[in-house]
Amino acid sequence: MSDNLHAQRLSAHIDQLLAHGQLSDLAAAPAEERALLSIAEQLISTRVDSQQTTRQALRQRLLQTPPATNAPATLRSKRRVALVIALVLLALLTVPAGRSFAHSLLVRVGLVAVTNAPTSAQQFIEQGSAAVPSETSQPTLAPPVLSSAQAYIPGWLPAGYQAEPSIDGMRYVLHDAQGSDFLKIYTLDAGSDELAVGAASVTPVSVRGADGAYIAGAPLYIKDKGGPMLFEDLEVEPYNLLLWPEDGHTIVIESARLEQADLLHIAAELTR
Amino acid sequence: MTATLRLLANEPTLVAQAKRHPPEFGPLYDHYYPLVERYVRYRLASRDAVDDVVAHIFEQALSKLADYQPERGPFGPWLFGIARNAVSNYQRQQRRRRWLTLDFLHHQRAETAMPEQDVLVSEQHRALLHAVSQLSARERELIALKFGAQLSNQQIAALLKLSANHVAVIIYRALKRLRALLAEEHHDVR
Repeated sequence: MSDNLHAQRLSAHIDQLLAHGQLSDLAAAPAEERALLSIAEQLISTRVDSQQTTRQALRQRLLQTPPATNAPATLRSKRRVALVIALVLLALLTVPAGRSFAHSLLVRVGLVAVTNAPTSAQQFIEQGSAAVPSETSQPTLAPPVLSSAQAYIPGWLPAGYQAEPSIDGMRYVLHDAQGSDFLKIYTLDAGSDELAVGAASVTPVSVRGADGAYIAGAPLYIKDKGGPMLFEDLEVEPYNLLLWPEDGHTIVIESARLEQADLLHIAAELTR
Repeated sequence: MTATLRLLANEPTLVAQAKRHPPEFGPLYDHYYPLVERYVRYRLASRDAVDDVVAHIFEQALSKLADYQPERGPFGPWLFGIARNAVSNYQRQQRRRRWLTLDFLHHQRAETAMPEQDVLVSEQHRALLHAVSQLSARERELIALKFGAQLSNQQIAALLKLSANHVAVIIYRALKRLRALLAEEHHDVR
């Protein structure tokens, strides 16, 4: 057996050890593997504990003094403030006169306020690279990441969609004559208290017993028109989203092609 | 392979609460402190330095918590990204300081020699930590991330920009090396 195969096998045992604190019967395993796992076991169980007083003192110090509020401004933070001020001024200068800054709340889903503010993708296309960066954590130029901590597994998918690992989690992909669709399931958690969807239409719907929303045609992403990735060759790509609150998270299913009925069907058969 | 890092049941909620109100960082601190401490312990020889570096890591984590974006990944790997930087910075500072004075060198030698009064009570554990200290920097980091931080191979791969297969191979070879080092030490003692 090659080093690689030994290594994969050993890693599987180590993960079992880390997850369950013990290993299933290893009697049949080679002697060397048992010896290495014994060292792994020692590495996991080695006591390195500091004195409780050290740990408690640090806990007390950290949690009683919010670090950000009392800390003096560093050069870096001053630069950041200056940059934000410069960007705000730039935005004021570049927004056409008469354009309204007021954005309406379309619907509230759990802690997330869905508004008709322009998305980052729209701002990027409309204003070019000088676009004011969004201060919300709405989906922007890069798709949000599927957290491995909350893996929602679809029990049903429309025909043709295949699970495929991607750099930011699992996605479900359909390739056909019309192109490709990337279906993603993810959660909006802390900090995601606003989701700007531009002029997309929003329909309140009930999802898995909770008050959610179906958003059709939200211009969340940017794609090229098939040519080189020059600025003038980019356009926004509308996505359909279904979102609803569950277990303290806001769960989102999105697809460029699937619509309300399919997204609701997928949601209904999700498992964790 | 599933992630090995044990997550708190309601971790995203806890992180969200701590972002709004830092004193609520407590449960996260309690959960991650032993993992961070073990990670740092496997990377540094000095017990005193471990306490300082761990404290620095949690200070950094709290001050940067507002920048943490849960949609970009779980909290644990983010925290160990901070931990890696803190250990690297500490080691860089130490390398610079080594050129300073002989007194400092003596002090350092005394600190890194794992004296008998070390908090470790077990001779076996002492031998193991000593063997870990003899691994290469890369092997030591992998051992610290796997057995200290208890990250999955995928999470380590993402942090170190390696493939998960490569991570598994380095861990395998590091464990083989540890086995040989422990056997040597046992032989020397006898």
